[in-house]
Amino acid sequence: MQKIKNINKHIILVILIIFFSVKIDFFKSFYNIFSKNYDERIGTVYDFCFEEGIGYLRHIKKKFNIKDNPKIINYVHVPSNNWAIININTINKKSDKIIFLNYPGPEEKIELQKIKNNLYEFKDVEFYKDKYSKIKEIEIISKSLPQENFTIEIFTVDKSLNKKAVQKINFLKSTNVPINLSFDKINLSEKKLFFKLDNINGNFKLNLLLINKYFLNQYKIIDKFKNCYFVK
Amino acid sequence: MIESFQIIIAFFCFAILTIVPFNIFNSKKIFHTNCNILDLASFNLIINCTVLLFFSILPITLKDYNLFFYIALVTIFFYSYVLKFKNINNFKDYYLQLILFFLVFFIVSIDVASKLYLGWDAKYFYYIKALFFVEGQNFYDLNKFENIYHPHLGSFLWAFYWELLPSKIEYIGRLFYVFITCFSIFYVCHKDLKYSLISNIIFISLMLLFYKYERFSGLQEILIFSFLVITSKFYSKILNINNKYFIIFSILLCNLILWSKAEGIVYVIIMIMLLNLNNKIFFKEKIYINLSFLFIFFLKYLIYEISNNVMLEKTGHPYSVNYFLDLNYQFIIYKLKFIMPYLAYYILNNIFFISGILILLILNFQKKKDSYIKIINFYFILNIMFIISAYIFRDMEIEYSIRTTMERIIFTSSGFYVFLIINYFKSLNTNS
Repeated sequence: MQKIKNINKHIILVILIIFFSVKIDFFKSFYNIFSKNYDERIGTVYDFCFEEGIGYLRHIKKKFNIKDNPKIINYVHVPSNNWAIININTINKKSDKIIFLNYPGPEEKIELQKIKNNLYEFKDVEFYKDKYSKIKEIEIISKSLPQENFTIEIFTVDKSLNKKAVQKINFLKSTNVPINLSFDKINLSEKKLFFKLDNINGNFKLNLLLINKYFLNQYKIIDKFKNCYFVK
Repeated sequence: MIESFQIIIAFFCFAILTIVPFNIFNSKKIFHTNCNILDLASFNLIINCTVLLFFSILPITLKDYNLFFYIALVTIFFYSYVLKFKNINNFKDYYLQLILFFLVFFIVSIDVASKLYLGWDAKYFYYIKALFFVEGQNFYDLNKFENIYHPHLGSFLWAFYWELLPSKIEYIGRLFYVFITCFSIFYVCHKDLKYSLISNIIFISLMLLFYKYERFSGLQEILIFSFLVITSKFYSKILNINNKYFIIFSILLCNLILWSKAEGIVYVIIMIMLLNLNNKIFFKEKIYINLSFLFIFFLKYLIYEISNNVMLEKTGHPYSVNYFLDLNYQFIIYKLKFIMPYLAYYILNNIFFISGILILLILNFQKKKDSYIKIINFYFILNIMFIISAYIFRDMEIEYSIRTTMERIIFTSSGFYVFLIINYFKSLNTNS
């Protein structure tokens, strides 16, 4: 009787463990470890030259035996990727090299997010201001060309909800207006940047044309893969 | 295959922390009290983590002592279990429990080893700090790193095991977090190490409900969560058997929490307040508890001062006196409009927190309220006050701040409810 009881105890435990294993994909994970080594698994977890670009960073660190800490400029807002390449022993040693990830070219167009009627937000502006020097122009997209003149008010709002005007632009029945608004001239630290359309109604999309801070022709390209660059 | 083998070796490296320095089969001879095997195992784990914390602040590199530390542990093990008490065979009596614990650890570890990716903050702070220790730097070099907002204990433990095993693979260090979590939940689920089917079912069910890879992606919340899980059982023991050892080890746990994350100080203050509210602790003991708290707090402050390390000017933490003084009524209301719905949402999404609150409500409406319920009531009130005030006084854009951190704060806090939940379900089983 005692023996049967013991066997039952074992069976219940085995069932529980199997259930637990299946629920958290143990067998798939085990096969993954069995069939791929650590570096291969890292390669599949992180993309090579996309988003965080961890694969590319690891590749150039190995290929060029990087001993310092090149500046990494990633044009996609993802978690910090310094960890993949950092050299702790020379952490404060400045490098003359730069790594560009997801480099968009000299200009990039981004769409503003509509918050409510006629109010648009430049999301993540603090991230963009480090990569781009200025907003070259605003583009308004609608089914038909605006028939009246209107203005766009640009302002910032800080975390305490204080509003500060930046610029006012008149649109004279046009869809594109150059504004040449330099990021250096606006204090965007922990602030949001808004664009408000005045004297116009309708459903519009607003785009901004940003000018890159970094131009590849100013650097010597050491290595390149798609739009990831290692430059000096 | 080699990696799976290393995970097994890592398990033994972690497990030895729970069986030395005190021989877990000789509690009565050592403590002259009714601590059981698991209590002693938790004491051992706390002592060893404290010793590692001590090593971490020495101005020497990890490689100089990690192997010696393990040689010392193995020597103590042989002396205590083989030579002195000769009770190594006692492990056989608990083989089913030990196998179960190992299997749960192994299954979770394999998942961690397979997924590998690191959490946002882990990439930003904790991995790089761990790398400092791995690459031969020590605590006093951490001030070279600009993002040193959080204390180093979690990163140090990560680095310690990353460096210890021959493979030198990063995730082996993170498996220590898996071990501590499995141990803490196993500890609160089981009365003793003796086989209990219902305890085992609860243990595996909790692991199932609780487990998600992100918890082990290098973030430090899991450490505080696990320490709070253990503390919650210690507090129950203090009430029931008024054993001074549980008070002492609770304070040591507070010390570990203090060194795990910047907000650890708030949890420690709450824990100390709960000890002060405990009517089973004598006034004289409460004085010692408060003095101990002041000691560990100022010791940490002093160490940071000496090392010219984190916490003071360089922290970049989002709290300031000026911001606090500038807050006005309308702005607080504006912030509360964000805080309250998100708080409700994240609480509803955390199985331990929501179950804890519901069980607490049920128990509060019952006629017989024991002192432990009062302690959990206090914890709940203090915890909610902490979460709300943390966001009101935080000098950051409120919605972004909530979206990026509140889920983790709720998760961390939920650790203290785990023992209550388990006890409640066990009592239902006993009553039926």
